[in-house]
Amino acid sequence: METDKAQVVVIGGGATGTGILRDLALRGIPAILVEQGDLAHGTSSRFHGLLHSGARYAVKDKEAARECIEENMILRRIAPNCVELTGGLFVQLPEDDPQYADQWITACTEAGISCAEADVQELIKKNPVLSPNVTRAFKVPDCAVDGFRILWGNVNSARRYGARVLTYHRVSAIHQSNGRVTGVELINQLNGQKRSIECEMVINAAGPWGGEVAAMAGLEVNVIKDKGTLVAYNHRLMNMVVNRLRPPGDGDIFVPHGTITILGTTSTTVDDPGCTKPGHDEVLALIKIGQEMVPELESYRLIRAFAGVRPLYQAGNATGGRSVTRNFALLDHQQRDGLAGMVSIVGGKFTTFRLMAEKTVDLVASKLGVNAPCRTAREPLMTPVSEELLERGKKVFGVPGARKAAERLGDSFAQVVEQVEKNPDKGRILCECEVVSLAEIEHAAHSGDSFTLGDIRRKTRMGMGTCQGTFCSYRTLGALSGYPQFAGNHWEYLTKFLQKRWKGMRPVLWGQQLREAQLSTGIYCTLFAMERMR
Amino acid sequence: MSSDHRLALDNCIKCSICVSHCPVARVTDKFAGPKQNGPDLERFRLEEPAAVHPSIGYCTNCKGCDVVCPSGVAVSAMNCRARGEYVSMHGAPLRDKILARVDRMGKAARLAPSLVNRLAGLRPLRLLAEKMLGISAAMTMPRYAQKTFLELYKPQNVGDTGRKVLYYPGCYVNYNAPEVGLALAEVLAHNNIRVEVEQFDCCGLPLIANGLLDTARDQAKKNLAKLQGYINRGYDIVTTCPSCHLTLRQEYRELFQLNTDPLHEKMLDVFEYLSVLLQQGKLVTRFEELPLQVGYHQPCHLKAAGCGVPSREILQLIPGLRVADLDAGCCGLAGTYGFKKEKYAISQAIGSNVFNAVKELGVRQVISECGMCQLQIHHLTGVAVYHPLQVLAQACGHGKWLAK
Repeated sequence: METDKAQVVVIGGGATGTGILRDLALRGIPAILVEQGDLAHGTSSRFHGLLHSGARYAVKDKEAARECIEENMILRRIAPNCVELTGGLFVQLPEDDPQYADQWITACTEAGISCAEADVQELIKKNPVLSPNVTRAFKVPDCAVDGFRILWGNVNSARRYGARVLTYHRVSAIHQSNGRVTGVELINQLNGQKRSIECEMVINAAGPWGGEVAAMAGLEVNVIKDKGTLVAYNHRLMNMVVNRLRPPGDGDIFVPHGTITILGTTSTTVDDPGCTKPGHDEVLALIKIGQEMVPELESYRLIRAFAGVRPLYQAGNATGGRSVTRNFALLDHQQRDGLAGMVSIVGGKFTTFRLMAEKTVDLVASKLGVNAPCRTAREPLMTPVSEELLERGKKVFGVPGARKAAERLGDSFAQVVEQVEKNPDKGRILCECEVVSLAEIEHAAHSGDSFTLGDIRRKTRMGMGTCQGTFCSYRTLGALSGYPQFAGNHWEYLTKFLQKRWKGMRPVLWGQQLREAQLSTGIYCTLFAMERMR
Repeated sequence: MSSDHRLALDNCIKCSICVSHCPVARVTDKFAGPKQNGPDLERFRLEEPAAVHPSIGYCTNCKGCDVVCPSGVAVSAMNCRARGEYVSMHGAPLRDKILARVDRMGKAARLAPSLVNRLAGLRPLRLLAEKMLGISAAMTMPRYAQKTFLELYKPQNVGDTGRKVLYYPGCYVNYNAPEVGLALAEVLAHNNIRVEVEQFDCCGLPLIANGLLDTARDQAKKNLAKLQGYINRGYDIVTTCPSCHLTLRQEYRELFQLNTDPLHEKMLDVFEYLSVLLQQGKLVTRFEELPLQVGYHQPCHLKAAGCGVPSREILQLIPGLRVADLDAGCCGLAGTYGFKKEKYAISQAIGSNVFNAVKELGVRQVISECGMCQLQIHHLTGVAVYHPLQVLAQACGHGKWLAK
């Protein structure tokens, strides 16, 4: 059995875990992050893609609201290629309590969130999908954020300082001796091999799996698993984030995210942290509520539905849902349970991941006797792509192709552009819905942490557009057959990939997306002689 | 973006039939194809209007993508708007601005048509134009007529049938091929129908194809108002150019959201008009024998107009005439496209199918409704090319309509 050594092991490759890894690395603390799947396969990619201004929480959760606006401003600065400055709106409809608006304005001001009243007529002219019944509207500094990209940004930055990452490694045991954690045991999810890491400290940042991880060390952490379903529209319905100006509820946020629009969410307490199945009923409920803000919603095409599990935390006994705080909690298990060398970071939300990491590493560093201060709020995640390089990119990929590839690739963009300049064939677009070139796919395959087509998808967005993988998955696989990790059974690779795509399409199978699915079924089942959709 | 546009965008299911039927994508990879430039990138353009791929300039606007789309997406209209966006942001080269104004070129050539025709054939001058402007030296230039159709047209005395017909000749017939307009007058006179003519603006298609949408929109409004006036007075409107026909009836609505409903009933391709007469038993079917074998080329815009091949039924009535369909797809010239230096080779490659079909059928005469297709087929094969009306006028018995 392979044995590694690191001062700290971080469990969980979500926003918080990767944020922690980066913070540790920047403070010079040797660390390994372990993740049971691919980075961001859980909660951190199963959300709106909304970088909160905090306005949503201003009335009920002032602390959370203040943290949001501060982190929002920090992320704009350190990760500009992951954040789209869309701006956000809070719109009030005739059926909403006008008094809530006044309360909300005061709360936003107190939390330091700018909210300027907007001219409703002008707003509707600019965003013609909005209901003509909107009574008042306010502009807030909401943004769209790309979860996958931020996480990889964290990891790449951490790696530059020596940190390591093991994806597809599930923790099977946490070893301890004399009241102190000594290491973890892992199982490689792809080949079943065991591996262990000796360490002084384990950080549990496993999100909805936080309770399970704690249990391995004999501890009890009550993570409330709250499933939220979201839907993705085929194109951008509006160019700003749109929230409903009323106490937070289901289906009241639209986020334009790249080429699509995400509407969500619902809220249901579940038992299984891996429960990511969107329900048909939930989808219908979302559309119904969303229609109040966007009346023509029913006629627009949905490409898929997806669900994520919010890991909520409330000390003591609580039921869950919208009433639970979005604040995070840092649990020092030495102090709380008498087990040295282990901390859990639970609750919180994507927008505040960096702050959660900072607080966690502050505690861990003090325990390890490290004095280095946190630098994650100051140092950018990656070097921005220069104008000159972008121009070169436009020559080979066109305007949208270059811009998207630059955002996705960050520091590696130069390398991919060079590839295509040398060999124009590599500029061929394999995923037309998201403009992903052969060169970019090869870059992702080459990176060392792409083991499945899904991994390539999360890095490049291949398969995430209108056709949901119908045309790009076989093209991509064909182009990758020379790579050892894609040299096995192609039927299996495609089945795994497409079943995941179809899982999201199934709850929205009507209209044009149904025709798309028919075409997809025809290609794969008839032409390629694969099985029925399951 | 209007709700209609958004829904059109959602209707594409990526089947790629448009790509497989695209004559440009077949011969060059400089064009990313109708799907990529259309619905695929349209999703990005909602985020950032600048997200137009420069390869959009390689679309010939043949509209084949619209015809074949099983989901009813007007791909070419999406591409036209995108090209307009691209040109309004990056500007158009002088060459395109010149080529797009076929009406102005026609007017200018009026001063000395013979001289213009001679200069257009002078190799050194053409090489200079290629170097300076990017106008291909290899492509045959259309010849200007000594007198325009409007100058040549004389109303004939005919019996009163109560039918009122206005003819929209289009720039090409007026400045380059007045014989087509005269043939139309001849054929209608044969049926005792008098033709009215009037000065119109260019339909705007060359402007649209070059992305100069604002000017095209202005002309569209003027033309539409004028045509509406005739419709109000009980006129039927006939055209002989499929591109003008398509632009007036369809593009004005698709691109400029103008109300073209009145044109839908009242504006017809001249052979559609004659077919209606035939169905009503009112067509004079007294034709002279014409022992000829001709090849027929269907212009893309006639196909896109969705009226089939309206000349077929009428020409079948001519004794002795045999019409063989070339069935070779797009000729590749696409109006101003094939005159552009960087696109000439592409245009010729697309047209090679037409060349092969003419050779295989062994025909020495070809007919086609589109003036630009006629020019290209002549350029490709050297055979004589006519408008079907010229054949019909010949069969009506007056004049030498086929002698070029």
